[in-house]
Amino acid sequence: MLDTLRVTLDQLDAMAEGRSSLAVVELLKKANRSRQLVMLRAVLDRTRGTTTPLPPLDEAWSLLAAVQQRDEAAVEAVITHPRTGWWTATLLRLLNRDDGEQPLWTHLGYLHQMAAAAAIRAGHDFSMRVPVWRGTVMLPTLGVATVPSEVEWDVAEVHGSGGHVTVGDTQIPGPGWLALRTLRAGDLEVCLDDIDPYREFYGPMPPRRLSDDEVATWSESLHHTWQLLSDHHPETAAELASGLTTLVPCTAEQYSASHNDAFGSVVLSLPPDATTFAEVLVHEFQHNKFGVLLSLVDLLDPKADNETPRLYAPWRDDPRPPTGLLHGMVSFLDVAAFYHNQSIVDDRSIIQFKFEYHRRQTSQAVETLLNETTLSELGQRFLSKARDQLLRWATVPLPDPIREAAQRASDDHRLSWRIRHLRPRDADVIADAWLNKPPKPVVEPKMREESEAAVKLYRQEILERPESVAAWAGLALASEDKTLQTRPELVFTVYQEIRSRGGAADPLRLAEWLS
Amino acid sequence: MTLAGEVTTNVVDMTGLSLERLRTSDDLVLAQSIKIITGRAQCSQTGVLQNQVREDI
Repeated sequence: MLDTLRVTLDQLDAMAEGRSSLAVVELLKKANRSRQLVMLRAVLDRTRGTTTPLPPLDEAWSLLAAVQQRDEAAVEAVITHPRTGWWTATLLRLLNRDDGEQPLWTHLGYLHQMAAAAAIRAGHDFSMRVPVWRGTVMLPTLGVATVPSEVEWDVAEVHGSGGHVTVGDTQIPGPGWLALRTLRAGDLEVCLDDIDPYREFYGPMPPRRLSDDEVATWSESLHHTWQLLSDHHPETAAELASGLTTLVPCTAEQYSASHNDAFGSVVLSLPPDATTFAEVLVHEFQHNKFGVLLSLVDLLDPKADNETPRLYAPWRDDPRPPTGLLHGMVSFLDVAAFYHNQSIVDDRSIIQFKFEYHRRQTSQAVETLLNETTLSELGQRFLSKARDQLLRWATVPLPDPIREAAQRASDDHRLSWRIRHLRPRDADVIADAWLNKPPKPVVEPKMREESEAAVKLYRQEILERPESVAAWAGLALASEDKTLQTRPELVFTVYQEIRSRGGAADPLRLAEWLS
Repeated sequence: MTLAGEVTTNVVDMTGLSLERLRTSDDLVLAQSIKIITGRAQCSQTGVLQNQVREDI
């Protein structure tokens, strides 16, 4: 009988405390591989007897199995490719509930593409029919071939014999073939994937081929980033060298993403410098790792509602579900760890600020998870370890201006979020009470000169733009009013209710009255 | 927990199992793993984790 995988508490603690560990990555790679094979078997079981324009899935499986006998590494490359995990999970969802966005057989055909790619890698003689989308055939880990076709979805034959490979009439390599490009830096080797139709976790989308100059820019940037990681974060570098396989360049600005089912892949716009690039890789790879970890253990009680967006995440403007907040907490914990280590060798204020800011964000998230979600026993332990680490980092000496700036930034975000998303009950009743008996004017407490000027400006802005979240958050910070700082949404909502009834109120007077 | 300091999971260890054997295996641990993992995959919402909402999609 087969055995199940085990995770040690030491491995869990390493992740909870933001410590890099090659042993953890090796375990997660093993788990990811097992998960992908399990899902492959499930796909085969669910689709037996299905008729499509392609050969039966069993035939594609037989080719993969035959290649595995000859060249295990060729099949491993294809099975553990990030796209395989994404594909199997997506297909299982579609088999449950087809969204009708593209013919199901074209999804099933990815197994045929995998088998063909593995056979090519192994130099194995074969023939296999595969799906064609708008005249393109993607062979995972290798590249994309162009074939003549006048329809959205078509079929082509991939043929390999004596080392010569054709896709329809297109010879590969040759005209009509775009190979996946590889970037290397130190021990790191990654594909720079600008061609897979599902490279950004939705699709299909056409290739967006980078020019040679663009590739050179990516390569140089990665080289500098790797230098930074190798020199100052060697354990993190070792993790990435082991687990990161694919970078997907995208055109959106300051963007990065990963997917729970695509271990090893990161979608990103080109970061502006090596430190930011390293931060993005740390952040996204931590998501990769955590996605696999959550397939092994439950940190949240599976019987609770963990998917409804309702919680405050200090790095997002929208409410997040418990699973999303947990994912973000773990990734930003690692980012805080990165900047903590980086601050030892880079004394710029921005580095210290980022460490302190991300530490505060993550601490806030940990408290929310501990107090507002239903954790499993392991989850309780995990978050306690994270909290202990964050408390240790809170004692790191930092200049006061850095601490204050980080506090103000995180307070501003928290206040803005509360104003946008929380609505107190009975605001209309409270507004009526104000209108029926407005409070007498009082002498305002003396403020610091710079605060007085800021308060005056924010009051004026609220008069002119009463729903400006930024103005309300700014007023809370500048005035240091207790009610505005703890329940800004209350003051904001009652103020709007008073206005809607034709009344008037000074925001600070209202806050003082509500206290 | 199996041994002190270890957590048992529901994910089968596929090390050493060939694709040919995987295709027809009726191993109970594998069957259980298939049930749990595919159940999660079928019911899960989109798994994209992104730092901001994209407008160009």
